[in-house]
Formats: sequence, C-alpha cells, structure tokens
Amino acid sequence: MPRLSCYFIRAALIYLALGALLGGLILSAKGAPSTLGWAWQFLPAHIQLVIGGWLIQLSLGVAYWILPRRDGTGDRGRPAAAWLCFAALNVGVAGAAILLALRAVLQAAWLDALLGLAALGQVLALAAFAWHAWPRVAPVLTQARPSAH
Amino acid sequence: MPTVTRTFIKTALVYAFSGTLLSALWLINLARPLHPLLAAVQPTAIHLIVIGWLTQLIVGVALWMFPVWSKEQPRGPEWLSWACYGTLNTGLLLRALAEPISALWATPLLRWLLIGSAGLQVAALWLFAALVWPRVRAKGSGR
Repeated sequence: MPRLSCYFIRAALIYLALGALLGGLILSAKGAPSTLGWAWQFLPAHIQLVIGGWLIQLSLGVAYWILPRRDGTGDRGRPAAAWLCFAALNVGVAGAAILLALRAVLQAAWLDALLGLAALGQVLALAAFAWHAWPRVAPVLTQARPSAH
Repeated sequence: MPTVTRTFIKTALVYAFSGTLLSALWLINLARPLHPLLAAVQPTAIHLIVIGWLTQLIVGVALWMFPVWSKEQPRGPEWLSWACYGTLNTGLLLRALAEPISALWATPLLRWLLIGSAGLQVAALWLFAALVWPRVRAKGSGR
C-alpha cells in the first residue's frame, strides 16, 4: 500500500470514529431528549465527518492504491495532484465540521466566510483527485513486471 | 474469501435491499399516505444504507483485502471481527425496530433500546477502526 493511501485510510478511520461518536450521541438524544438534546447541533458536522471524512476519503485512498499504474515502473502519475487532494480534503472536511458545530452556538460573518472556504477546499480536493486518476482509468496500462525468478 | 467477510458482505446486501425498500416506501408515503409509521422511517432508511450497506461492505472487504496483520494471524484475532459483526448488526437491528416506532409512541423501553443501539454501533465502528489500523501500512514496513 503506498504511503499516501495509508494517510488517506488512517485519516478516514479517525473520521469514522469521530463521526460514529457524534452519530451515537444524536441517536441517544432521541432516547434521552432532555439530557442529550444539545447533541442535535452536531448533526451537520456528523454528516460531514461520515460522508466526506469517512466514505469519500476511504474510497480515494483505496483508489490511489488499486487503480492501474501508468507504466511498468509502478508509477501512479501526477502525485502532486493526489497529495493536494489529501491536504485540501482534510482541511475542508475538518474545517467544515468544526465550523458547523461552532455555527450552532455562534453567528458571525467570518464563520460563514470560512465555511465557504472549507467547501471550496472539498471541491478542489475532488477536482485534483479526478485530475490525478483520470489517466489511470483505462483497460491495460502496464506491462507485467519481469519475474524475479 | 474468509467466512467473516462473506457474512459481512451477504448481510450488507440484505441491508442494501431493505434500506432501499424502506426508502421507497417513505417516498411513496409522501405522495400517497399509507401509514403514519412510514413518515418516520427516513433516518432509519438512510442509516440502513450508509451503515448497513456501505460501511458494512467496506468492513467486510477491508478485513479480507488489507495487508496482513501477521503470518500467524493474517486478519488479526478473528473473534474481534465477529464481535464487530455482532455489535454492529445488533445495534442496527435495534435501531431499525425502535427508531420509527419511538417517533410515534415513545415508551421508556424504546428510548433505552435507542440508547443501547447507539452504544453498540459506536462500539462496533471503533472496534473495526482499531482492528484494521495496524494493517494500514506502506509496503515493506512490516510489523
């Protein structure tokens, strides 16, 4: 597994753990509305963490690992775009989750502006990954490597 | 394909069908009201699809395909995988039962079932994260 896929997948597992925790609190709030009613303010953050942080990030990490290589040397091509995707996605998702949670208790124009930037980060991330992966989605790109035997 | 993976994937397929069916019933109920219970099934349907289908499929395939844990235990302690399966699906089934009904008739028992369901699902997903974390590593960086 390439190092970048490790980063994508480990980050996805962290988001899964956080998203599940918030989801568990929100579901528990249905059972104990008077004591856990505050948990509902984390619903938008929960959705960000589970969809962007877990499902999308995991699929990108596995795609970077599994999609066909570009040549016999094992080159995956356009690595800068894939790294940019990792950075922008994590800034975008973590930023959006934190800002959405803050927005439940604080109304400010700068929060909305930052939320817009976080959204743009997510869009940039997916565009960068598509730029990286597009040439790898092809019938057969590589010759089998010569056997060591 | 190991038994635990086959069990995860087949269960995921059942959730894909049941989540889609429930979602379709919710949509039909919007257009032509059939039963008040169907108006309350949307969050349940979403979670059957996102947790029961998508996440469960990922868990099953990850336990199978990720780099091995060790030569002796390629997929780690198998009982932990089964514990993850048991807690995840018990939690989801409790939710599928208690969430729509409690939206209409909230009894103390249903409320406790919802809290129990939340705890089981969180435990399952944390267990999965802990189980595969050591297997997410770059080629050549052995344990």
